[in-house]
Amino acid sequence: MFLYNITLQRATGITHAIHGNFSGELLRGLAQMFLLTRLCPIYSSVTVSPVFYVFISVDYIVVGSDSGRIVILEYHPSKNQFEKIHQETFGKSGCRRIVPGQFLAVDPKGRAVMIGAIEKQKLVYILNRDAAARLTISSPLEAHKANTLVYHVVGVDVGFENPMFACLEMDYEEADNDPTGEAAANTQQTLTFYELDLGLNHVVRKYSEALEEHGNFLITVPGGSDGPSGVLICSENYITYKNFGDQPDIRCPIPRRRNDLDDPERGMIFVCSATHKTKSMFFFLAQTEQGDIFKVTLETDEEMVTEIRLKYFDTIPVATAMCVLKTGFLFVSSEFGNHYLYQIAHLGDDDEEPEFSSAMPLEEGDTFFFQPRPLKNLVLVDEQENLSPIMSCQIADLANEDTPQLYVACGRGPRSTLRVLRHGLEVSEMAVSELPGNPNAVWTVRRHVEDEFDAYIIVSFVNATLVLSIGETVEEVTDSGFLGTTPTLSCSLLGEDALVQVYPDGIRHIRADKRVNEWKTPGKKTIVRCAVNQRQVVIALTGGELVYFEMDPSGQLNEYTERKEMSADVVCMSLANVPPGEQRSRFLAVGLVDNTVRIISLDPSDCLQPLSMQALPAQPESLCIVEMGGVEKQDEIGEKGTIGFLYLNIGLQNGVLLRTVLDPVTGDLSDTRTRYLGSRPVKLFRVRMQGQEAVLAMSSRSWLSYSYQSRFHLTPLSYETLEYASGFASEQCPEGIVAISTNTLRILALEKLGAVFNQVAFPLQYTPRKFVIHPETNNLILIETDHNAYTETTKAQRKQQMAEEMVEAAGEDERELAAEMAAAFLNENLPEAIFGAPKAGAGQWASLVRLVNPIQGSTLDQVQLEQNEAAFSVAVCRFPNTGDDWYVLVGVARDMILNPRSVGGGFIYTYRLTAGGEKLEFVHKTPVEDVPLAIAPFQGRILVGVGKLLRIYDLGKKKLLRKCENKHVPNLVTGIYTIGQRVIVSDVQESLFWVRYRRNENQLIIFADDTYPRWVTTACLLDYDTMASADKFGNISIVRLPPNTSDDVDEDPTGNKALWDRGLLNGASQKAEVVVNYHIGETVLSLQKTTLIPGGSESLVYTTLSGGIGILVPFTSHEDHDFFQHLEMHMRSEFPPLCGRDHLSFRSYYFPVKNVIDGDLCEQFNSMDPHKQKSVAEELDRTPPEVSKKLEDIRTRYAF
Amino acid sequence: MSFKRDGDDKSQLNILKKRRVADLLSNFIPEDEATLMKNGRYACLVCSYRPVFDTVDMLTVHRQGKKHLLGLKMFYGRKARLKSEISKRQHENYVQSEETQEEPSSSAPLLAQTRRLTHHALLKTVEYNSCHRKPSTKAERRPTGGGPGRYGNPCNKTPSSSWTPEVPQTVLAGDPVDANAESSSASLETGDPAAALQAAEPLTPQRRRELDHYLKLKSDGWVQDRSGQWVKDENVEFDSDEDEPAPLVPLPTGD
Repeated sequence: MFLYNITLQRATGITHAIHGNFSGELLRGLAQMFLLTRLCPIYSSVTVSPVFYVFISVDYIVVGSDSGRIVILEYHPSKNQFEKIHQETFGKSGCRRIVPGQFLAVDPKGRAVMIGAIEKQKLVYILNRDAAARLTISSPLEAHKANTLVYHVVGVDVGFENPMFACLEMDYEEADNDPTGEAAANTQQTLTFYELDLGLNHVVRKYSEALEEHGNFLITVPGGSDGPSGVLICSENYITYKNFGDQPDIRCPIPRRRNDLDDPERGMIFVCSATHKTKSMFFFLAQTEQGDIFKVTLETDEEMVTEIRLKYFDTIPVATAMCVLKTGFLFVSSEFGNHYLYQIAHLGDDDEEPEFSSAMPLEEGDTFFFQPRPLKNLVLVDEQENLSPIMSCQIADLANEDTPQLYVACGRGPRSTLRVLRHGLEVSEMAVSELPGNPNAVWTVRRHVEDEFDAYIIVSFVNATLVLSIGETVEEVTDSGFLGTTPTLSCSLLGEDALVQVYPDGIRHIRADKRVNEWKTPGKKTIVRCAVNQRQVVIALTGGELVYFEMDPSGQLNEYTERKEMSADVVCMSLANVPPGEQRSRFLAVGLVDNTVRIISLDPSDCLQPLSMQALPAQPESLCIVEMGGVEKQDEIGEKGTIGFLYLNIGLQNGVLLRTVLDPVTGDLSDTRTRYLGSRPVKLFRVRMQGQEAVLAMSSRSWLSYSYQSRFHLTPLSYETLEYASGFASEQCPEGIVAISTNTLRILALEKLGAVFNQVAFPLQYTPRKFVIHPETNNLILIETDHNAYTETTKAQRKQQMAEEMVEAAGEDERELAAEMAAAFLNENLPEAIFGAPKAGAGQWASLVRLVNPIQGSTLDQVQLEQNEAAFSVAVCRFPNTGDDWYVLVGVARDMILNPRSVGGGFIYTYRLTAGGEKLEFVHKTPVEDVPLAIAPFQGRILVGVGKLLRIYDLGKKKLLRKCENKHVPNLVTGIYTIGQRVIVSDVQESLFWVRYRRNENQLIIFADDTYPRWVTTACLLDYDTMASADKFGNISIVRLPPNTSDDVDEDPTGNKALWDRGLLNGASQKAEVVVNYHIGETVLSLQKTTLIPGGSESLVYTTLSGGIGILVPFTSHEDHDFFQHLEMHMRSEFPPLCGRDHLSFRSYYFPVKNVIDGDLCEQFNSMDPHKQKSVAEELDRTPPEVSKKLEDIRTRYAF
Repeated sequence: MSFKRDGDDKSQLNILKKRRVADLLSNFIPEDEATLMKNGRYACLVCSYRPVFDTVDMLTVHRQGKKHLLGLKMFYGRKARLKSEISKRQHENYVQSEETQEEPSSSAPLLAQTRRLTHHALLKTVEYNSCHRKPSTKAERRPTGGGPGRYGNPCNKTPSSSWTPEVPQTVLAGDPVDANAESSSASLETGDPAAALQAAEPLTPQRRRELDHYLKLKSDGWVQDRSGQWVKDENVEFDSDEDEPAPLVPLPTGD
């Protein structure tokens, strides 16, 4: 078996974000790649923990990763790519304790960079410029200190003095050598300054000071001419300012929410910050772990900081990084949950919000209080969807749409959602209006070529034409000059300000001054087809005669002297747009009844001469020539335009779309790509998307073919069937589509170009853990469990208790006021998705079981479990003994403590599905000794993994009855999969076990296992002998039982041999063989074998914790495999990953990669330099278009 | 092992090189061409006169000799003949057993004996017949040996005609081979003599239901004691009012 890995959607969780001067764009570090918010090319699929940093003054990016290398990148906006400027190796690759890569800090003036490891090693590189102003990098200077742990590193802003770095460190040497543990208790964290002496060219540990509190991160304070310099240390409950010299420490407590349900003993820390600096002032925005943002300002007196001031700014979801852009926007990226872009509307300077200061006298341990409130200073502008973490995913066509949907349970805590993903572009409906009848066609025209927006919408009916003008509203007009008493074949803006209408009996040319020129068809002939652009009109008369008109400089439409008789009837025609600066488009494409498309020259030298012809597999329905894939260029005059390739799109009657490259000189057709769109004939329309031409193709589904970030996309629209469409531009909707569907006119906008999936999200209360689909009603049964959380009941109780305490604490005379306040407190209800849920402390669990309709997203029923009961497994099944009722079984752990792991027992809750599968009726609960982490139906009973025990239970009257047990799974059963008589059990750290149930002896016997210790997170049956499994380190592997494996234990009727005669190291006597090994790089939490497109082949779909979705597809021929194997090999050498990690060693992180080819790397072929593409293609005995066609083919065969 | 060689004698170097290569290659002497004797010396198994050498080096030198090479031809010729003879015999054996339709003999005589005894104890009325075996994957692969005649064993022929067709219809989920194995072994171990009698006859729906019921009771945790009574397995849980195993419900259309 050979597999090919394709990523459908890259990880969406952001671990780092920085912003720089490349036109205010953001750079985010995803688990595996770089991404610009506007443009997202992937560059490297190979870094695990990249750390980004930007020199403030120049647009360089320094990246530290697990590659053991420091990389400096430059962004090229024209190519939309990063270019590696420097790559310096300093250590081994991989995530290691003492190899730098984890911490990265730059001197704010961009003169030096420090890269540090978690322990001991720190390296400083000096950056300089050579004579040609190119960036140079020195050899590293060491600043190592043994036995020291590092928590954070920043560059201190010291102006133009020697560069200085501040580190939060802890020296553990003494603690390590003291067996009494006394030293360990007394070890203090230190703040250490390292100075790079540029004169002596070495690094000195300048100054170190023990800290009172344990800090978690540092913020650089602007220095030099901009501010007082120094650092802010964020620690538990306090923020402290420190600097050299006479500066005393300034310390301010972190304010807390008034009447917070959180444990008041719990410390509060800042988790991220952003600095905003202008010439005159600076401030910091720091976010606490509850999501509250404080604006931090420093009061200075003659270069001495006298006061820290904190002011409550707003509350937004907890972020991993915040970036304040120069344009007044705040980008907030999260590891879990969506990313947001806010506009900073107010700086919070002049409102009633109290300001807290370090100068206010306060007792040690006391703090300030504030009242959280909805957004006041920030305005939400945009939201970027983030699936991370995907806890569970199932792919099925529950909505009966013939393409399966992905049901994804994602998010964490109160920001959790159940999302339904569909392949396609999200369509937003701007307007829908009914028309008096069923129209045939619709066009939009501008009034003048310079106009930005369209002026008229022309709708053609069977025997009439309706003209609507676009303004504040859309209304019918009669003075447009268009003929209303006839159907229309086409209309367009002609020349600068004239309009043309083609109708069956003639052509109407309407000049700007409303003069009308008419051209009538000769004799009994009528116009059957036409093609129009800005300067040319071509019509086909009955009988296959072509008549060509061209506009002359005076604005007159002139007929060409000759006409052309085609050999067969004309079915469709298309003209390209007139290229800027030229008189005419040189090619006309004509589709004929005889299943051919011909390219006809319109050049004056050989006008109406055929240039080339292509035979088609079916009759053409529609043609469209567009220019796509161009790069935006500015010519000398400053005129912006794109230079791309001409593509001829051919829609066939059998629902197939062909895309062919049209040679701009010879008119030759080459490199045809084919795609099946739907059951109806394909109609094509030219529209504009992001300033470029795109093609809207309509079959039983509508598709948009467009080029986005130098990649071609052909994506369906998630919308109902449309019949005819045209581009639409107005003030409200600059790039829309006007379309007709039955008797309605719709104005649509496509916003999220480039997105693979469109999402519908339904909110959940706690982190979703697992869900199952009820096969009869298609409803989902979902379990949600949160650690460190209160259930609704406990929360209400605590609130009530706090309210009572408030009243009691008040004095006699304040009772009334206190009661009022308490009532207000009880009524206050801040949405937990933004303000966060109260933290209950370790060992506190809340969970619920929810029955959801996946189509409406409505919760049909929900069962709140008691406090400290955590649901971990769910199954839906029937017990044949008890009739046709469906039962839902939920495995629950009680009083579980994660570290060190302990559990107070568990339960299996049994619910009956009643009311047509819309209600959960409690039946009974069965106590068990350990956590039931897995439940699976098996032969009319259920298999349950209780801790390390595998048991069979049957439904009893008062509880589930234990019928059979196997104790030989080594650690913890995490998953149970059944096929026939076989049961495959995954253990938390010992991979898979094949178990067989012997009915006669009522025994479960392990007969085979795996040879590798995999920490299985999820697994999937591929066939009777083959299992795919994913582990927590991000590997996917496929193992198979050898063909001579016998489930039956021979010569041993009791099976005791398999029980007692265990092989080497207690393993089973038979072993599975490894078929595939592959490192994904992110923990995979769901695996499913399924088809993603109707008529496609089966693939193995995986989803990752950081929100990525990918597939592994099998090769169908050895040739293909050979080809991609070689392509991958060439790509590895020609296009090495950006961060310097070796591709092969990354994919072999834990197990040597076996039988998998990295399709993502292969697809980078399309973004390579053309000459490199050519050389690689030559090595493969192919041309570059052939290679990219192969890449596209394998992708579209299985997915999108 | 490293040493510094002095002088620049080319031939010496070559000799050393050669020796080193031979040293390295000596490991590739196939196991059946030489043997390490008790006294730590080596004997060449190829040559008929079994020369003995003190070291691997000497054996290596010998292995390049003319005599040895001649012997090698003979040695492998003999081996090949032996091999073809074995396979021929095996084939003959196989064909013979195919013709006589004989049962495979067990490779574990003691186990077979025990099993026979158990079966005798259980099936008092029917004479033990070797065709009452669980079809195992191993048995199919093993070359069949001799066995008793086939007089008086009707089920020797019936299995193919009456038992196999029943397999796809069986209620048991799972792969057919296993289902077959389960039901056949079940029928053997039923204590009911009448049931055993019926084993010889084609399987009626009634009979199948009985078998299923038996398996169901077994998998529900009931075990039969010596007297054939159903008792609860102490490791298995039951409903509190479940004192007797569920009786077999007679067919709704009893004939």
